[in-house]
Amino acid sequence: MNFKRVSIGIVLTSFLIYAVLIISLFYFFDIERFAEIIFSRRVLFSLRLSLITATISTLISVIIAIPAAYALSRFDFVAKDLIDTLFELPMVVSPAALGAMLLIFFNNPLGSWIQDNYIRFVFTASGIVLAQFITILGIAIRLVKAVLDEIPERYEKVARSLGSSSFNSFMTITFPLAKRGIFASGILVWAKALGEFGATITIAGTMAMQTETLPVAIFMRISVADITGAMSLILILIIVGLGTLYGVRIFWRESLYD
Amino acid sequence: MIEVKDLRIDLGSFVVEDISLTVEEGTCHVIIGPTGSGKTLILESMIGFREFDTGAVFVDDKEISELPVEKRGVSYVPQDLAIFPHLTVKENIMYSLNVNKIKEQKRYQFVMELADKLGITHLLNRAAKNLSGGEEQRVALVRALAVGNNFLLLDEPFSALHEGMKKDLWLLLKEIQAEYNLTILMITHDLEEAFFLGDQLSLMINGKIHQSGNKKCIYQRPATIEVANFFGIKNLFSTRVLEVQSKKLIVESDELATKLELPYLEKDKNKLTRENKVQVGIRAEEVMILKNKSERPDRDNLLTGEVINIFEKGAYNTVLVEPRDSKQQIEVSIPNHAFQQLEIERDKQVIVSLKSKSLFYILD
Repeated sequence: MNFKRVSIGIVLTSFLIYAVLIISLFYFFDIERFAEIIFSRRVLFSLRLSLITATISTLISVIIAIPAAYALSRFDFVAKDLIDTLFELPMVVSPAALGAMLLIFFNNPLGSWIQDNYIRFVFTASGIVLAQFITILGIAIRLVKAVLDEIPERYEKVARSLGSSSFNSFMTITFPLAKRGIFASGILVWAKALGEFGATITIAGTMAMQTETLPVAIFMRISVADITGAMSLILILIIVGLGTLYGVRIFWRESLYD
Repeated sequence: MIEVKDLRIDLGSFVVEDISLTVEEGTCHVIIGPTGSGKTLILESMIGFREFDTGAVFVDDKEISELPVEKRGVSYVPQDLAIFPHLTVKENIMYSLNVNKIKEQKRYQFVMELADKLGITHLLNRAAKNLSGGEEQRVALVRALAVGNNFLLLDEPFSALHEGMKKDLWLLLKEIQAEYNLTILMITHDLEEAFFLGDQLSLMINGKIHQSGNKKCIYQRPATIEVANFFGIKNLFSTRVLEVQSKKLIVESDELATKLELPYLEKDKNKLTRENKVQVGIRAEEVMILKNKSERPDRDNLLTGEVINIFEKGAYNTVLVEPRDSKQQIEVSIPNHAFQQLEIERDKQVIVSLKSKSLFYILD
C-alpha cells in the first residue's frame, strides 16, 4: 500500500464522517413536514435574517480585513506580534464567551453610551451582525493576510519605481492579483457567519421573527424536542451554506481558464 | 550622474558600510561580488525600498535619499524582473504612462519605439504570464525605460538566462545605452558580464567595496587577496622584496624558488622596501608556455617545470606546471590551437614565462 492510496483513503474516511452525519438526518425525514416547515413564515424570516446579517457582517469584515491584513503582511510595527495573536481570539475563545464579552461591554459606561446615543445591539438584529462580525473579523484578517503573503512585494516596489504611489500600486497591482483569494476568503467567512450561533444567542437572544437566525431556530427546535423540525432547518442550512461554497468553488475553477 | 556617499546599512548580523561610488553620465558602473555580499541591499537603498543608517544618494547632484520611491527619478529592474502577471505586455510597458495619466503622443511613440528596438512589438497583446525568460527580460527593460528616466538600476537582470540569450541582451543593452545616453548602475556576480557591460567596476565582498575603478585597472591589478580570489586567480605567490629599482621591482619567491621582476606603481614606492613581504600574482591566461627559451627571447621571468596535470575546458585547457625545485604549481590557461601546437602532455618538461608586465603585487 503506497502513500498515495493511504492519503486518499484517509480523505475519503474524513469525508464519510461528515457524509454519514448528513445522511443520518434523513432517518427523521418527513417530506410533508419538511415542506411545511421550510415555507413557514417564521423559517423564511430566519433564513432571510441569516443571509442578510451574514452578508453585511462579511462585507464589513472583509473591507476592514484588506488594509489590516496588508499592514500585517507588509510592514513591521510596534506590538505587531501581539496584535496578530489577538486576532486569533475568536478561534481560541468560544463563541458564547465572545457574546458574553459583548454583553459585558454594553453594560459598561462606554457600551451603554453607544447604545443610548447611537445604535442598540443587545437583543436586536444589529447585535446579530455585531456578533457575527466579531467572530469572523480575526479569521478574515488571517485569510486575507495569507493571500497577500503569497503576492511578492516586489511587484508593488517595481510599480512604485515606475512612478505609482503606494496606494495606486496596491490598487493596480496587489489588489487585482489578490482579488480571487480575497473573494474566496470572503465566502469562507460568510459561511462561518451564516452558521454563527453562540455569540448571536448571547447578545441578540432568541426572539421569534426578530433575532431568530437559522442556527438559533435549530437550537429552539432541539430545546423543545422537535427533531423533525430541527432536521429540516439543518438541511436548509447545509443546502444554503455548502451549496454556496461548492458553487463558488466551481465558478472560480472555471473562470481560472477564461 | 548617480552618486552614493558613505552608505551604511546595519542589519545586525550583517553590515554594509563605507559604500561610496559614482556613475558618470552615460556610463555603466557594475558592482560585482559573490552572492550574499550585500550588492542588492545597496540598490534597494538607492531606489528607496530599504532605509539605510547613514549616507546619501544623489542624482545629478540632487539628493534623493529622503524622496518617496516614485519621485526619485530612477528606474529599476529587479532580479526576478517582476513582470506584472495579470497584465498584457502592452499594459506592462505602458504602466508608467497609465498610472501617471500621461497622454502625450510623443511618450507613447517613445515607448513603442523602445518596444520595436528590443524586439517585443509582436508580443504586445500577449498575457505577460506567458512570456519566456528572454522575452520577460526585454519587457522589463522597456517598462523601466518607458518612465523616461535616464538612470537605470539593474539587479542581476540576466542571471536566469542561458549564455546565448544573455550575450544577445548584453549587446542590446549596450546599444540602447549609447542611443539614449543611459546612466546605469548594475549588479552582477558574473565576471564576463561585468567586464563586458561595465565601464567602471566596484568589487564588493562581505559588505565592503574592496576595489573600485576602471575595469582594465581592476583586471590587471587586483587590490586585495580577496579580490584576486574572487577573480579565481590561483597563481599567487608569497615573495619578499630584494631590490627596488627606478622602474622595476625585484622579488624572490621561496615557493617558486626563483626571482621575479615586475613593474610597480610610483605611489607604492615608499611601501616597497627591501625585505618587505608582498604577494605577487598572475592570471592563468597571462602565463605562457614556450617550446624553448630561444623561441621568444624577450620573455622575462622564465621558469622550467614539469606538466603535472591537464584539464580540458572546451575552448581552453588548464595546465598545471610545477617549476623545478618549487613547492607550488603554476596554473596556465591555453587556447586549444596553442595547446595543440605546443604538443603539451603530462610529465613533459616545459618553459613557463611569467611576463613581468602581467605580474601584479598585493601589499601585505
